[in-house]
Amino acid sequence: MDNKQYITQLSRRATLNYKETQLLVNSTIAMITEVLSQNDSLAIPAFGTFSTDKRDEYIAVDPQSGHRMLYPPSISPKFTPGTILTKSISNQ
Amino acid sequence: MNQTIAISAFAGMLARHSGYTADFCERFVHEMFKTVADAIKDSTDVTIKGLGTFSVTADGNVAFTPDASFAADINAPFECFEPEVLSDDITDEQLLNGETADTPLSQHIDDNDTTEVSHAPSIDHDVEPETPADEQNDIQADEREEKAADEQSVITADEHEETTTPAPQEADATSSPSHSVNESHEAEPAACTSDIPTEPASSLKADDNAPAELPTETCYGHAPRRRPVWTFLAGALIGAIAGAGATYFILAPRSNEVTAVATTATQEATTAAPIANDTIAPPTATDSIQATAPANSAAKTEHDSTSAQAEVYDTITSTLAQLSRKHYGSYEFWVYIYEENKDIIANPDLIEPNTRVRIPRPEKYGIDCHDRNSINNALKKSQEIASQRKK
Repeated sequence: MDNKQYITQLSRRATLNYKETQLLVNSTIAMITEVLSQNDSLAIPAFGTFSTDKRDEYIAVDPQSGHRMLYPPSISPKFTPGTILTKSISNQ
Repeated sequence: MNQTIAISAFAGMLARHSGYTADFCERFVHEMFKTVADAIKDSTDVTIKGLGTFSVTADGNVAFTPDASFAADINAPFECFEPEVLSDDITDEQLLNGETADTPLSQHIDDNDTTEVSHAPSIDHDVEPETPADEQNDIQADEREEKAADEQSVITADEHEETTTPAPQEADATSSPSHSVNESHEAEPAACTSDIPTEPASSLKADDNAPAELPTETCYGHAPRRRPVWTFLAGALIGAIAGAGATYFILAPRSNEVTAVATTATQEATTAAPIANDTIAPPTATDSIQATAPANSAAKTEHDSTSAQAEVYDTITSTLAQLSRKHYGSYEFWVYIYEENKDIIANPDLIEPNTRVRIPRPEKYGIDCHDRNSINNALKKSQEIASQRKK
């Protein structure tokens, strides 16, 4: 299911038109970004938790060039599925 | 920070951001992720543009692959860093000590330090020769100042103006011989670049024999300082003259009085005639002396001069009555002080602070704090003054 299909399905369920849904999804994503960039995590009931994962700087060998590389620290978004979601999948 | 935001709080934030109600936003977010969950249950991957892809792994777990833009937004604080290739000469020990990042930087710093150090002596070279001359200059300036102050204390303001003008010329004469054409003015353009337009030419000349001139420079080093010193001196003198003038004008009326009294006293002393003695203000004292020694003129002059000196002056701090108590031992005799200073004191109830008044001798008005009659007389006089003032 790509983005277009998803928005269409969501607009039907939320009783909004496509454009409104698109805008609202975009602003929701912007809010999630804001929450996560403040190092907070966002818990969605019956779905899961969005959080961030900070990785310190590290040295690794680049497999393509063979050089040892110093990689900078990074923050990556992380999603932990909730138990209800995992159970509903495993029950099938 | 490190808080877990609940969906209700998140819905409130979203409501503020989007303009929908918080209730609606909460339901919408619910629906949004329920749609994803429903799709995942059917083992379909869901891709949301700007967020990422939710997929089901083989072992029944949910995997989330963030969208590139989403990941970049989250990683914004470290976005500016790039992976760096480590050179081969860095050992593991250095890496463990965390010196990898520092080594190139510290090398740079070291280089800078050395260059700075190498520059430092040259700077010192330029500055050092001037310092003794500066000190000399300061001392000279101090001396001149002191001289000026001394002069000022002796000479009046008008005379002082005349004396100030020769002083700069004098010093000009002392400094001007030091300016022969061949002299090195190396330090001069450095110290004050906007001095005199002709100087660059002389400095060009001076460059040829600059090393030889270095020691002599100490003698002429005060040249660039000349102007500040003069401006300072001129300012000080102008200030001194203005102050002297101001004090002169403020004190002029009183000093005139003093001189008037003094001159009358001296006149009396020089004439030494019995007629002159009759005109003297304290009649009781002079009369008694006249009676005792009418023929001895020398004795008279002596006494007259002492009586003139005995004129007591005092500065009023609070009231005339206080002054009266201080000098006569009782408050009632203030009227005589007022009588004596009617020309200065307009209203005895309103004395200007720091008014300098003449205190009459007690014998003049028969002042005696132990005599009841004297006090009564003073009280009567004060009533008279009060009634006069009422009119």
